Parts: sequence; C-alpha cells; structure tokens
Amino acid sequence: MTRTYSALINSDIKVLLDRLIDRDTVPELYQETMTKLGMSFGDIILNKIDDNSASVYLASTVEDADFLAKGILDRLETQLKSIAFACFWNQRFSPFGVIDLQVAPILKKYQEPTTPKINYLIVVKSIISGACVVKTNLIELIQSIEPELIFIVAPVTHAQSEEKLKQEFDSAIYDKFRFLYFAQDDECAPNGEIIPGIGGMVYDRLGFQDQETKNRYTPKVVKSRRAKLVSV
Amino acid sequence: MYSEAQIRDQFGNEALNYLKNKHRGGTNSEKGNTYESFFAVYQLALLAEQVIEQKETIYVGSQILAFVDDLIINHSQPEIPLKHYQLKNSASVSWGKGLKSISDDFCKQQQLNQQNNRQTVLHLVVSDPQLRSSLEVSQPHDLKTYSQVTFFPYSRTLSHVIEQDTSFLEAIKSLSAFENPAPDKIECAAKVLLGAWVACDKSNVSVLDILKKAQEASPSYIRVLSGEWELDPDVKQILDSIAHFSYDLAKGFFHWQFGGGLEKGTLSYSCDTLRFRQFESLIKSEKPISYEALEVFLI
Repeated sequence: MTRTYSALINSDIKVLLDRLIDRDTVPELYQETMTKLGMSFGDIILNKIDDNSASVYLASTVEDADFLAKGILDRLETQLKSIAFACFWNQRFSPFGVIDLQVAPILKKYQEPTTPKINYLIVVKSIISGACVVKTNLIELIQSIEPELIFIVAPVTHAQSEEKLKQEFDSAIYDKFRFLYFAQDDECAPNGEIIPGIGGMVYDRLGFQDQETKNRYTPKVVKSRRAKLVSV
Repeated sequence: MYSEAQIRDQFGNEALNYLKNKHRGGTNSEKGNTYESFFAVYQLALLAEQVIEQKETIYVGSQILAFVDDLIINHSQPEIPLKHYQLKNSASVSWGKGLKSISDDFCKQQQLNQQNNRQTVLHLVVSDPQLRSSLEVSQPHDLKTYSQVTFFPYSRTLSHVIEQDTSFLEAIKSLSAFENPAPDKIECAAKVLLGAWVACDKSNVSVLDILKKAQEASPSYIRVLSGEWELDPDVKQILDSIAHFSYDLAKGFFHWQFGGGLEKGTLSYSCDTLRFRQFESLIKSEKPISYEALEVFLI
C-alpha cells in the first residue's frame, strides 16, 4: 500500500484526508470534510482561471453534489460570473456478475443550459478508481458542450485511473484533461475499494445506505438552483 | 450437436482427442472483454430483429465439440445453412495444412455437417482488413465454395468496437429502449447483452432466451420485445396535472422530463414488470401534485 501526495497538498488538506480515512468519522463530519476539500479545490481552480468572465460548467454525481461539489461551487461563485451545474444519478453494476464488465448508465440527470462552447468543464468525484462513472458522465456532457479545458477533480485517485480514463477518449478530448487530486493510492481491494482511499465506500460514509438510496436523493443544490430556473 | 462417436467414426481418435482438448481450452477462459465475446454480441444484436420481428427461432452455440466452434448460428429451418465462425485476433494467421490447421478444421467441419445433411457456411473472422485480403488470396481452392474470410474490428472496449462498425451500432440502437439512445444507453444495452451471453450455457441456446436474460438486468435499457403499453388512467391523470412534467412510454420504458429537459430520466425497469405496477400503485396512493413530490418515485 503506497500513498503519494500531489503538489497541491498542504498540512490542512492532509488532516482532512486523514479524517476521511478514519472509520470513526461520522457521516455529518464526513460530509463537512468533503465540503472543505471542495472549497480547497475551488480555490485551486480559481487560481487557474485568470478571467472572471470565463464560462465554467461543473458536473457532479448525486452523492457528491451537496458536499464536494458544493464546496467547489461556493468558492467559484465568489469570483466567477458564469457557472452552470449538472448532476448525474448513475447506477453502477457488473452485468450478470461478469467481473471485467462495468457499466454506469445515467438513470436521471439535471443539466443546466449553457452555450455550446465553454471555457472550462469541471468533473468532480469523491474518488476515481476504474473511472467508469466519470467516463460515462463526461461522454454525456461533451455530446452538447465543447469545453476548452477539462478539469478532472477528486481528492483521492487510484494510480492507474488517469490512464484508464484517457484510454476511453480520443486525443482531441484527453489532451484537454487536467487532473487535480491531493492523494493517489495504488492498492485496490477485491470489491473495488481503494485502500486507504476515502475510508470505504462513499455512499455509506456520506450517510446514504446504498446505491438505491443515493439515487432517490435530490441534492439541496439541485433543488435551490432549479427553483431559479423553473417553478416546481 | 455432434457426438464423440460420430467424430471418432468419421475422423478417428486423434481428431477426437484434439477437439476435446480444444473444447477444454475454450471453456476455461470465460471473460467478457474478448474478441470472441464482442463478435458474439454483434451477431446476437443482428439476429435480434429476425427473432423479434419475424419470430424466427435461432440457436447459437460456442466452444462445443466441433472443429469450427467460436460461434455457431443454427436456424430452426434446416434449409438455412449452419454458420460457423472461427475468430483470430492476431496479426499473423494462415490457413495451414494437416491436423490442427484452420484449413483442416474447416474441411472436417464441412464433412461433419454434410453427414448431418446440413449446408454450411464457414467464416474465418480476423481483426485486420489487410490480413483479410491476404487470407482471401491464399485461401485453399477446395474451401472456397463453402467458406469466406470476414473482417470484424477489435478494440479494448466494446463501446469502441461499436463505434467502428455502423451495422453493430444500428443493431444496438434498434434493441435500445430509446428512440435516439445516448452513448451511455448504447453501452448499457450492449454490455448487458454481453453479460447475458458470457453468463449463459453456450452449448445451444436460443437468441430469444439470451435477449430475455439480458432484460433481467436492472437497468438493461433493452426495449420490451412485444406488446403495447398503456398507463393506468388514474396514474395518467395524476401525472398530466403536474406542471412542467412530461413523459412517454416509447419502446416499453417510462421516459420523463421536467422543466423542458432541465431534468430528465428513464425508469430502470420496463412497463411490463411488477416493479412498474408497483410504481403505478405508489403514484395512485401518494397522489403527488408537484414535481418535488413526484421525483422521489422516478428511480
């Protein structure tokens, strides 16, 4: 088991990552920790965007929307004028238990309208391992928007995840990738869990019981943003 | 399809032992992401239309006791030739001579089917178009009447193979639960079909049974194979009254959208399932009057 840290790490972020690993961290504190990590990423991304009028699209999975993604969103909104948001409800499974098959279709999506050409697309996820969900959502996003740069953001990634994700795309797309992470692990348990990763399966740690429970959840960030676009 | 006794009588013990070893080698490597599995899914998708629309009964088999056995397609009408496929995802392939060569396997397979009074078409399938051309040139003369060389692309992922072959893409689109399926829905239907194929007993299984098995995945996003679907009138009345909400039951799945497409989705189960009946019952009992009250049921 080897963990390496990226150049983005500092002592405060390391404390947050250790809190994710700690199995005694209760869901409320885990959620708050993810939000703080999101805010750190938000500041890092703001440093990479020198034009406050740049168009930015942030995309998240349902489980990360109110925490990691919300942290990023809150920081970006302090400076940027044009931020659109998308949220995806994926169902990840191996058809008929065939181990080398993984699929993560989108059961439901919330996708705010934007101009076809944008400056930055940010795809955020609490952990990236096989990259199946990130790949699926990114392919969906680039059907309708054409970003100049794509930030792939996760507090922790697996050592091979960048390569796996790149293999799914043509160079015209993956040349736009900029991976932002704090820590990278190289061990993966038989159930797919990265060790130490983010301290287990994210649904469970965030307080969702399982995949079905998280897919029944509507994030607060979705409810508040859509209320400004259409009356519910 | 073929008994050990028949093979021994016709070709001797050496050929029988070779086939038994070959068969054992095949069944020990059941994985999804292989050239053979991708090709099988391609053929299953192509055959699906004949099975669904024309109600044909078609069987497929693989890795059975036969000389050309990567995939065998057997129509229930005996006048339709048996199709056998030998797949080679390699840069160097030759017809060869003598026992264990492709040309000998093809020749013996033809003789075996002749003895069973079945016409035969044998395909050598390769993943390199230039290799296909050279194998056509070097094809032994006596094989030409009943065999051909075919190109089928290979890539590390099934999605990339589908992208490279228009007929494959169209066949999966036709099987999909969507009129115009997004990439994730194409991938889902194809991988579910692949999973059903890998997981099934391949000795002689009907295409319809594999399609039905694939539909058991949730979601499969494979269209309902037959029938018309109507929503319970009470459910329809409730849903129709929700502002900014619309839906349809195309291809047997409940597709919905809210706010002119701001939010959209498709239930993971089809309209002919118990889960859909339960969904309708929930709507009738809860009577949601707003999208916010309804959305919790839309999974």
